[in-house]
Amino acid sequence: MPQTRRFVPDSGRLLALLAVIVLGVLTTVGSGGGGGGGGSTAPTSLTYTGVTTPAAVDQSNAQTLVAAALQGGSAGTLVTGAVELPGPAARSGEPRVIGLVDLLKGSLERIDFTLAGGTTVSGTLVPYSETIPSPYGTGSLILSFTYDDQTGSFSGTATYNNYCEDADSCVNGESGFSGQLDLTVSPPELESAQFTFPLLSVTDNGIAYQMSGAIGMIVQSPTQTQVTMSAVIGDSSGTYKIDNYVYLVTDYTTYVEVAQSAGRFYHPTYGYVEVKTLASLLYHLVSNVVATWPYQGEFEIDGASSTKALLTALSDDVNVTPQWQLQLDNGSGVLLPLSSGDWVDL
Amino acid sequence: MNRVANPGCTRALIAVDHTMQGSPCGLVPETVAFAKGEKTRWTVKRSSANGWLMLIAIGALTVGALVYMLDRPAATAYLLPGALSFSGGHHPVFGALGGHLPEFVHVYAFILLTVAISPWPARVLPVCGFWWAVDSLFEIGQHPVIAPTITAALPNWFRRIPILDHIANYFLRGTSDPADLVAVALGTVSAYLTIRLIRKSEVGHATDTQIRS
Repeated sequence: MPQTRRFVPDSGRLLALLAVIVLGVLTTVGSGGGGGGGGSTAPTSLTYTGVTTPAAVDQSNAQTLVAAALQGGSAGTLVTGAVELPGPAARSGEPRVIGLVDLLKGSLERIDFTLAGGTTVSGTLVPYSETIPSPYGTGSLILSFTYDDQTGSFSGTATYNNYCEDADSCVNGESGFSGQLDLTVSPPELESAQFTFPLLSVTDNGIAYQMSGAIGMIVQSPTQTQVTMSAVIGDSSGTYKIDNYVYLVTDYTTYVEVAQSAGRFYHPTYGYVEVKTLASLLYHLVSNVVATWPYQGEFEIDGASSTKALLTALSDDVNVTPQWQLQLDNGSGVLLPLSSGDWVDL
Repeated sequence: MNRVANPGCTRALIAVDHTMQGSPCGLVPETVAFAKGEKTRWTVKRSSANGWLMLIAIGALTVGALVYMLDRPAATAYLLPGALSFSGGHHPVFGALGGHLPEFVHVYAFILLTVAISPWPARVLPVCGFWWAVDSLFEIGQHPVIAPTITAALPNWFRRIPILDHIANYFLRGTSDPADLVAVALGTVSAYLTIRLIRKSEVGHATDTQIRS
């Protein structure tokens, strides 16, 4: 006869069962959502795999290095599909170090923070979501975040679905963001913001590129923003890396001023150079779009063995030649003219 | 004594004499007292089947870990140390499959593990339902419309405890993908079928042994 007994599971098995359930839940959480990406989709960030040693700047690579470092990747005009607009500024997309910052900052400035904020009875922050139609095209921007209206801090995610801030530049992807509003003014204004993006896909005037990285910005005045940027940039010509670019962007009515104090640019073939501006770069602002190339300023790259190259912007007028001049120091301490030409040839 | 050959063993058990010695079909008779009365049930000899289930689960989890180690950037998985990430410099080893394989593997492996150690081994469907619900809800919770609500409800003390401090990031930075929900559903069904298959083969093995003896 089968034995009759009251079915009481032994405590050891119960404990093991509990452990498996806890482990299962923790591994669900622990396997996703790290620096971004979420463990839910295919590989979602770029990795720089090029040369990581200092580049010696010489006659053969100075022009390539300085153009790529200035643009944050390949020089746009060299990419098939680039369209040069008529007018004073030869244009094939905004400089990436300006364009993406404008786009990300612009998306935050579209938030009406007076609608967000507050806490529940239990004291937790009230979440807020908003879908912003793309100013151009049919895309959208979905913002999901929490905002502490007592301290001014906020954090959340921005999901760009073919979101176009202007007629030429659109972005897809997701970025985490956090920041701080200045509550001492009314209405509150953006004081600082940080973005981390595993992968943003951008098309700018027909040129496609992708970026993985982080951007921090401190708004010093309504027209002046200090930016720090570290990112890997991939386009049809290769994958580049910019490391800790620090620069000040100042908006004027007809131009934008960029003063870069530090940064390192990695070129996949030659290695890295240190970059900075000796004189602020000035870019024309045409129909609220920043010109591809500067019309004034000095941009320097420093390589291995005290080699360096200095690019001087002379003009961005397509009727003026030359528009830039490049000087090279091969380590001797003396800058000598190397080349000059139009931006489309850089 | 009735001898029951595989297949059709389970149904034929009705005809088994309860007074028999030994256990046909590798089943062990036991009478269990429930709140509404007693009930005799037959349970599979578990040790061997459970061993297989655990082995398969560990194998599946290893594959899932390899996806993160080989194809995912280090920063995308909280539990993956940077030193174990080898994702750079090569094409994704798992290709497009790697995008959803971890979701499949997780629900699949934990259903097997849970069934293998559960004190209620016959209750497979509730286990499948439980893990399907858990994994699906975590996936849905990553939707940008829902994620802020969840993170806002998290208690502050979570921030001071490793792994729990990461839950907000999981929801806010993760991506809710319908294809992942499909992967979770497929993983659930696959786990159920695997358990049935393993137990059936164990029953068959036990019966064959008994017939030979």
